Amino acid sequence: MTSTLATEPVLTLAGLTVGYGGVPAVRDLDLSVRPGEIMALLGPNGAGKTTTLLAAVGALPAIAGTVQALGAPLDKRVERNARRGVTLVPDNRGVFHKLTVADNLRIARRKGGTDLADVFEYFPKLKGMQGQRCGNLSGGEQQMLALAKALLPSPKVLLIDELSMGLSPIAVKDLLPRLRLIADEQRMAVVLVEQHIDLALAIADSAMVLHHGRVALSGSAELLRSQRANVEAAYFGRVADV
Amino acid sequence: MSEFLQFVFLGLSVGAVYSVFATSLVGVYAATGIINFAQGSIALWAVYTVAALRTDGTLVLPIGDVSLGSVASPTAMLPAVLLGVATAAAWALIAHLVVFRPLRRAPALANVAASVGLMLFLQALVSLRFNTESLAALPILPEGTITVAGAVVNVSDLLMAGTAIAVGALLWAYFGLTTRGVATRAASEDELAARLSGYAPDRLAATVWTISGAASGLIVVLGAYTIGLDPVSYAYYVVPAMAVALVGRLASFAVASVSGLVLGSFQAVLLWANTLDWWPAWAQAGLGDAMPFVVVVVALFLLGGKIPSRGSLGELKMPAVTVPRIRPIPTIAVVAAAALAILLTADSWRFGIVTSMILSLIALSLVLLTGYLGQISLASIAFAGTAGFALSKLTVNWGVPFPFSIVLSALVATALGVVVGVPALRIRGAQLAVVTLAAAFAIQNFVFNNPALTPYEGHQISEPTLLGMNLSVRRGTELTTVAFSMTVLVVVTVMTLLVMRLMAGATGRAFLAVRSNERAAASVGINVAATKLLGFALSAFLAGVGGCLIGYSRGQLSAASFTVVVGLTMLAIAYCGGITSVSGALIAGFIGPLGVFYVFLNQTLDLGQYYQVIAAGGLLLMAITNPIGAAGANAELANKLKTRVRTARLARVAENGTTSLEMSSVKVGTHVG
Repeated sequence: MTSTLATEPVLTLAGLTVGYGGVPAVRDLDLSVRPGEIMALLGPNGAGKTTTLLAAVGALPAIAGTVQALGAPLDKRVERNARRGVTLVPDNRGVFHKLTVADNLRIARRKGGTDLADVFEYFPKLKGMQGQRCGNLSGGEQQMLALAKALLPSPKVLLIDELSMGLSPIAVKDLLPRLRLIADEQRMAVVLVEQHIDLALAIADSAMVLHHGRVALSGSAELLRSQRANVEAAYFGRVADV
Repeated sequence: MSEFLQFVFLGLSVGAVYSVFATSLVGVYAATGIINFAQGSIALWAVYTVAALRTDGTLVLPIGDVSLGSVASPTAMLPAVLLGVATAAAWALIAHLVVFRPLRRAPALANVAASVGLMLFLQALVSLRFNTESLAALPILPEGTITVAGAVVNVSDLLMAGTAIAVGALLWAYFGLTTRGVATRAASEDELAARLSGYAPDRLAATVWTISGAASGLIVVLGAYTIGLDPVSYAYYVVPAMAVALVGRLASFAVASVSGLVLGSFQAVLLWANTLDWWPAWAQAGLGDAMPFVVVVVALFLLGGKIPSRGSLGELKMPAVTVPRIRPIPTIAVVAAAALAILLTADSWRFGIVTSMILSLIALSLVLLTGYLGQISLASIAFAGTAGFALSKLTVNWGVPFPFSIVLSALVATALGVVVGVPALRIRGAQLAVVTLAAAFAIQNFVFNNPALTPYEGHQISEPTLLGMNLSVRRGTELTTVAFSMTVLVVVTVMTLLVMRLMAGATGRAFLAVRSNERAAASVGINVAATKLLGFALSAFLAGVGGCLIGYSRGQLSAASFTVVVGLTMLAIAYCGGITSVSGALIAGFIGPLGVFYVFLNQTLDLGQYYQVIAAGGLLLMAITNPIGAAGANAELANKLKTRVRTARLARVAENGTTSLEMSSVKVGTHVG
């Protein structure tokens, strides 16, 4: 894994409390990721993982605390943050079903971003599907398209919500190592929300388990891999000492 | 043959307007998912702006005006056209920013109500702000003619068609070929995902609104000299435009553009057919106006599988429903208040009260169909009208006595309701609104206004009597009799209670199930098609009874009581009153056309001429600030207050340390999704 964790974080959540209609779903969260780092954000349903990601791209306003991205406070508008290089692959994948694959990719391209040819190297299957409507793609193909779409503008911080949702275990085993490769090559900070704990920990540098909106466990992925029982305990809200 | 061809070309100007409106509608739909009923009204403002500028150089603004010239030296053609087109673009942009953007997460019905409100508002504003009696459109396009296959063809008609095709092509290119256009379509599908790709959906939509407003303004400005200038018709050109847009599945610019031109030509050819000897008398008027409905229905049945929203699993967002409960004390109080109001007033005030009661029955038909069953219908007023005309025939020609006359006439409306309801088996949402609007338009022009179906002496209605009592509305100099008013009160009360009873029971549950998810409803054994048709039938029956009462209250029926405008106003008012509750229908009756609110404006404030602007403006404001309607907002407020009072009481009880039975009396509001 990467050994360059000494650089400055590109995304820092400090004392972040965020929720819906004034009711917090995440409380007092501290989190930071560095270029090239993959952080696995784990936890049961309703733990606050998606809420955290939405707040980190500006889609949900913070009730308290701050979000710093790329050395500056987060903008209130999601689209501005996206243009600055902080973006999210949402849990519905954020692909446009009515558009063709080519059109999906087209609107994601930016000057100074990654070449389409390079993205096709990561996901060669997409190359032959450009004329198809995205809605006709299988779940795995859509997820590839979602990642390809997210990579085209060369984001500095990529948040991914449930990469494996609706995918077969085989497809997940195929996608996650590719994500590791991309993060290394592009020096991209990744926060990955995942239900497949072991698969996620296998490619991550660091990990955090949320429970009821609070951090139940955090540490390096290596450490958490060695303390699998503690991770499971944290899922049920028992805070362990790591 | 050459004569036939001549009419084909003559229809191109009107066809060009349909075509550009249709492609504009498709564009706005692609960008925002909204079917904009106000597209014609926006263009209407442009055409009058140009007419005023070229008459005396006055740039008329919604409030005040700017003089850019005089009668002697009015504004030149080009600047006038540019300014006119700019006003249409500006109205479209304002519509987006002020009306539709705030409503982007509101129920589809809120958007329909708001766009109908905007349509009526702009149309009323044009009538108020411009001197519509005297302004005329001056020519813009060259007036020469050329000969094509023996037919003399106006160059201007060809240019109009060319402009329409160019507009369609440009819009197609924008959406299909430019990255911004593709992103616009993407943003309408998934707003968050588009923002995560770095696009601001609002700005993308604003661009399309502005372009479509300008395009619609331009085509009407160019064509007004040929087509003629009047403050109503352009607003309703949106109906045929919607029909052809539906033929293009609200997605194809090419189909919408070409079908618009074809429909225009076809209507002109129908005019030519009037000159033929064998052409029947009944088909000589209004057949062209019935065409949009025919087009829509044919399109639905040929393309039914492809029209968007059919069978889609996506849930339609709808306002919350209040399940009615018949409570004796409030019911008696309301009825007693109405009776007292009837007794204490006279003449126009009493007439206003009677009209309000009748309108609340028509609004109730909308509550039933649209609020509970989720089928957006703009044809209710046409059902009312049909019953009214049937009443005239039944009482005058066949002497059917009251109250059988009402029942039979309402049954005629019911039959029509079922027919109009058939398309609802295939489509839903705003598109159903388009179909029902086309139906209402067809019925209005082909039936109500058809001279061949109108008796020489007009549609007379015999006075109602019951067991020797004269129940007629007028007696001597008395404008509105107590006997008639009380009859209306009884009929409206009985019908309302019946509806409440029905909605609280199994039928109501089936309606709500179909409304929230048709497939889920079918999976628990509800016959969706039968339920929908039952909804249309019941709703048409209620509207029919309302139409008969309107008939009896006028003595002689006129088509003016049942125009599409009245129907649109009723839906928008019913929506804002609260389309999902019986009290909403009462509120709608109160503020409806010629009701108590109108009398108040007219008699007390002397502002009758502003009624439409005030009502439509109020509707818009209500729809924007209160997407769930007044009754819903009131219910929510009442619930909040109740909860607060109860919580305070509970807190006090808890402080005193007494165990309380009151805990069990905390009720959850009876709102269901």
